Amino acid sequence: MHLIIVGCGRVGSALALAGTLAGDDVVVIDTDSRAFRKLGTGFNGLTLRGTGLDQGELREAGIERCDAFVAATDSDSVNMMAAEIAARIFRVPRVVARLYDPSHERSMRALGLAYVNDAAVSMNAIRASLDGGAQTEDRREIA
Amino acid sequence: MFVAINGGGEVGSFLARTLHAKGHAVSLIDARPEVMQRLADELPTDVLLVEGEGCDVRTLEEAGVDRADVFASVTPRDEDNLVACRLAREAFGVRRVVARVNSPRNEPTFQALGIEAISSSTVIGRLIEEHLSVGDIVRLSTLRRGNAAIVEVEVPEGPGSAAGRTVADLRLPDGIVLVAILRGDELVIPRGPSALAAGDRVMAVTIAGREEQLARTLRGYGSGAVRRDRVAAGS
Repeated sequence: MHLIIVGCGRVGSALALAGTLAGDDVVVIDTDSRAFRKLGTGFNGLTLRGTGLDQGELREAGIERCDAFVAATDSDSVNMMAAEIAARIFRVPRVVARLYDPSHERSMRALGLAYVNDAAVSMNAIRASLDGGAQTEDRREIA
Repeated sequence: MFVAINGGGEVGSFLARTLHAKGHAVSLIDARPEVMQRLADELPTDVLLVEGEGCDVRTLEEAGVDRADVFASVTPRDEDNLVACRLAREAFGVRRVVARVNSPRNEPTFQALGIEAISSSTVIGRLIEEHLSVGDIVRLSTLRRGNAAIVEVEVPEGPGSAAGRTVADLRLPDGIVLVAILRGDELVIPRGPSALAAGDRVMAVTIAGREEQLARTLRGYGSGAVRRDRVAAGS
């Protein structure tokens, strides 16, 4: 699978590494080249400095032949614009945006974009571990 | 008319003031509390000020975007302008949606997504180009966002000039239509048999890029060389 990830923060870099391990061709784009340090030596994909919003730059990243596109920056407007470009202009088959600030959820929905709600996912996981009888030590740590 | 504006900086506040002065209803969105405070003092009291992000559906609701005839997003961030405009169109059905585009490289994206994009660098570039061509071709007006223009060309004396020939003889290609010939105080509406004379000023509508061809036909040479000289001299 050819995968493009915009944003090499905690989520983007972890996703890029996971892609490499799964055998995907991964291209990661970030405005700050220092962000690529997070990828470490295990990453064998490509890194590209850029906004992820420029069509020329996205073509360079191979968007015309890519199978999946993830917009995972910490700006929801960047994620929405990048996802719109991928889905509507380049018709990438699978496009997912990271929802950083839950107050933008209605906007994501109004634009018909597939998104993952960062905060809700970790909140649910924490809640489940509280309810699901996690080990006593863990519980004490959370409390 | 009711206009909703996203972005309360220089462009947005100027736009709000101007539209209000022309009798339009205006609402203005900005996320910065200090900007909102200043605008509350500066702008007329019946401009609706809404503090919040333009890429948040709730803010747009508060600003009455569902009733807006026009939505304009003029922040310095292209991603905010794009998302706000897309929401105005998709979630609120605003028919006319206009965005300020800060990076000219983003212009095709706005257009591809159906948003009217205004890029200051592109506009300035066009104005400079129009200015540079004065002399050979005067661009009187730009139509359809620069895809066509109304131009004026003077018919010179001498070899290669169209003076003495009829309009039909010129065999103008598609994309160029002569609309008027100004001869002294007289205005001639050109037809096939109308003859051109030295000193005539010919007005034409051309699609983009055909101006050169028109100049060559009427003057016997293009204006390209002259224009390039001027660019070099000006730089």
